[in-house]
Amino acid sequence: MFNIFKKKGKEVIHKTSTILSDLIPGQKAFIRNLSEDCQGVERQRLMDMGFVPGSLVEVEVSSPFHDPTAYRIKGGLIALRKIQASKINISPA
Amino acid sequence: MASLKIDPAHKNCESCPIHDKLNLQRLGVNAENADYIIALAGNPNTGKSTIFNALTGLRQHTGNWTGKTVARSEGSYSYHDYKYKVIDLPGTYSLISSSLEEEIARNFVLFGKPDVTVIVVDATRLERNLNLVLQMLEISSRAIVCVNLIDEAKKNGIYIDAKVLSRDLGVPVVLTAARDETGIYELLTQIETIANSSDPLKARSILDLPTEIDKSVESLRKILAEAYPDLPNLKWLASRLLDGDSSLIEALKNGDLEQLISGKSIENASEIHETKAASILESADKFRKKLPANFHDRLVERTFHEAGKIAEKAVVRKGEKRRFNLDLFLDKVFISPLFGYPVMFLLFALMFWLTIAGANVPSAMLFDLLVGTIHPLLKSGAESMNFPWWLSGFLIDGMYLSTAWVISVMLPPMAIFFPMFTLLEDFGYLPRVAFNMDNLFKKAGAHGKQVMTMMMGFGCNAAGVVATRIIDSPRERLIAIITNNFAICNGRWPTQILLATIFIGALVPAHLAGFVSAMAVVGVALLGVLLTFLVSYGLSKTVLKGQPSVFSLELPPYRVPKFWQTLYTSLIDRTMFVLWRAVVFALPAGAIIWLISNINISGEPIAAHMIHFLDPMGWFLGLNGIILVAYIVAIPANEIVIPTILMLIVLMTGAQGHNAGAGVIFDATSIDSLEGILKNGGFTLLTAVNLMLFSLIHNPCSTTIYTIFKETKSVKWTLVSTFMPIALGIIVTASIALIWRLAS
Repeated sequence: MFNIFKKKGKEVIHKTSTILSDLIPGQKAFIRNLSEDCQGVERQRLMDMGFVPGSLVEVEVSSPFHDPTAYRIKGGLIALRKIQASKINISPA
Repeated sequence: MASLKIDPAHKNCESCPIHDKLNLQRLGVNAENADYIIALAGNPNTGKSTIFNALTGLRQHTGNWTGKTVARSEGSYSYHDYKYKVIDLPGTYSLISSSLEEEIARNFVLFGKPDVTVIVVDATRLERNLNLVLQMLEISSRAIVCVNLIDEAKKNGIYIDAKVLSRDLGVPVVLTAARDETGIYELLTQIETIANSSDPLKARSILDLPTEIDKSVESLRKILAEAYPDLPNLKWLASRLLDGDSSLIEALKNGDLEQLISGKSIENASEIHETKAASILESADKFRKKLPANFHDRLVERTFHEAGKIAEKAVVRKGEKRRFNLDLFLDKVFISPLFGYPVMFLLFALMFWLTIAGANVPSAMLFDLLVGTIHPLLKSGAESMNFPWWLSGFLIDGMYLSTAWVISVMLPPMAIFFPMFTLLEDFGYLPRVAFNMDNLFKKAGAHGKQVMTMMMGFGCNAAGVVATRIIDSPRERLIAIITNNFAICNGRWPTQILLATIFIGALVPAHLAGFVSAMAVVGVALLGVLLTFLVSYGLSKTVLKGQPSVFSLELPPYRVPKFWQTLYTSLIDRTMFVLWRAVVFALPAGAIIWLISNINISGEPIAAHMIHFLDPMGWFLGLNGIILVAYIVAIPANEIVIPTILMLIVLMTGAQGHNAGAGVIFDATSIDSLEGILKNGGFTLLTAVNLMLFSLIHNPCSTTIYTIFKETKSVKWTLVSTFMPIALGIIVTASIALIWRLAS
């Protein structure tokens, strides 16, 4: 019965996406940088949570409306709205 | 003085001074004349409150969610010959303050000059936690790093090398698992050592900056040093000013900075001070222009880079990360698109059903005891001692009886509901409810974290209003404050449960009654949630317009709640606290009800005048005059609405001409008779439904109103929060009454 919990994207290395909000649960990437649109408190919060260049991030689970989504980063599980995740540029893991 | 139990594993260390339990004396909140001040700082949800409790013997509730400690709390203990005052600061991710909690924490460590700062970090997320540690060490080198949750880390195959970490950070490192007090004595000893030593520690500094940045920081530092020779942490302040830290710039401008340093207000110096501040800020602007554009990012990245390097050396990994996978599995049940909502609904419905079904029997037993048995005994006792009728009436029929009712109606549901809620909270479910529901809140123009303040509101709205501090945006926070009242607090649950049981459960066959009444209560609670959305939407489209702010929410790891401890603390702390409050309000309310029922003006008691006056309004709302009088008497506390209604009904219907005084129930010897009393008072299904609705939608209690004022510091928003729900309640109940009457 546990198969229904397994997403197909598990362990898939994503090569085409460039922003974090494009990834689906199970996929991993490195943070490249934060977009220029992301400034002030928003930028600071994301960096405090560990969204800094070079960090490895993995998508863990999406909420019932697929927004927000929870990301595993630096050991913590952080939920972000799509609008925030779209301002985080990534490179393939 | 609480004594400590000794972990059997440490028995052989008993002779060692570190484990000398006799030297620790927990002093709770008695923090007078402390020799040393200890600040507890750290990331949110690292177990700071658990450490705080272990040190002070206090039982501050420790929820498993970020932002549980929103204000700072204080306690104290004495160890060997010294007395220590402990300040538990709100959890923060960094010191670059972008929220109220961060500012509270930062200002205390910067200007409160604690003798020792204990930085609590989570062993399972060391790297991110070290980011804060490195920033903290920049402003206070009298620090100890307390690596907590090593038990949880062990389960994940993570071990921390304290020696390596201590060498790299330049300050002592203590490993603890505060839940079972592992490492607490070593922490006590380290605190003692640092508090009593005058030698400065050589803490790791991240401000060894690249030369082009360092030059600017150094120049500004010199200027600051000339202007404010007493200021501590000049280099840090200089780099923050260069970074354009708005709260520090503001503090410099309005003199708060000087005030915080000297600890006293500065008079007559305003002109000198203003020019001084202006020239400093001017220099800061000048230097800032020379800096690279990404100066700020580089500072933060640098700190994380350092944190990563240090963590890599200090963390030893053995075995696989099994637990993270268990967490992942649980998350797929609790917050996935498929199961998130159904599971959430089932959990809460189950909780209400257990509360309603479970509370029936003990409620009836308490009622039998307090009202059926003790009340007649007291009455006959008073009679045999020749009490005048008015004295025994005032004391026994007024004060005692209203208190007895409050206890029998409120205690059983609370004693069941609170422990269940606390278990769910400790498990880590609350932030996940926020995660599930954020999308709906976003659509309403509000913040997902509002859910957590709502959940707190289900306990107590005043606590819910304080909890809104976890929302950074002032606009969204105000929405959360105004709508918190739509979360039914524990003072209102008993009203809902009683009316649903008597009037709605009675509509269906007996074996379904419990389930249907539970669903009715869940329905009212869900209506409250719906109103929260509608009012939030209305506010964010009109008077509180604005864009949705940033949403970031940490989902804590699931933790197995300590069942018996949770049961004990939630019974003692929450249940008893709320019950005590209810009793404190019920005693005088009982006295007032008895007085207004027995002092006659032109032939009729005062209460009767009030009821007749309010009857037309009551009819219009599908309620009655008695209910409205009860709501006036019950402004201080919602808990006493039902007892007040019962006493007033008896006065108005049953007790006329009785020489024992009005406002007394003579035939109520079991809880079943409550139904008879209410029906005697003209209660119909419409009255019950509208009373349930009015109980959901009316003004907050006086404590909550006061808390709203304290939190918003605005008369306007306090008035809005008070009167908007009443207006809404009148509209809703009047409409239902109208439709009901037209339809029947």
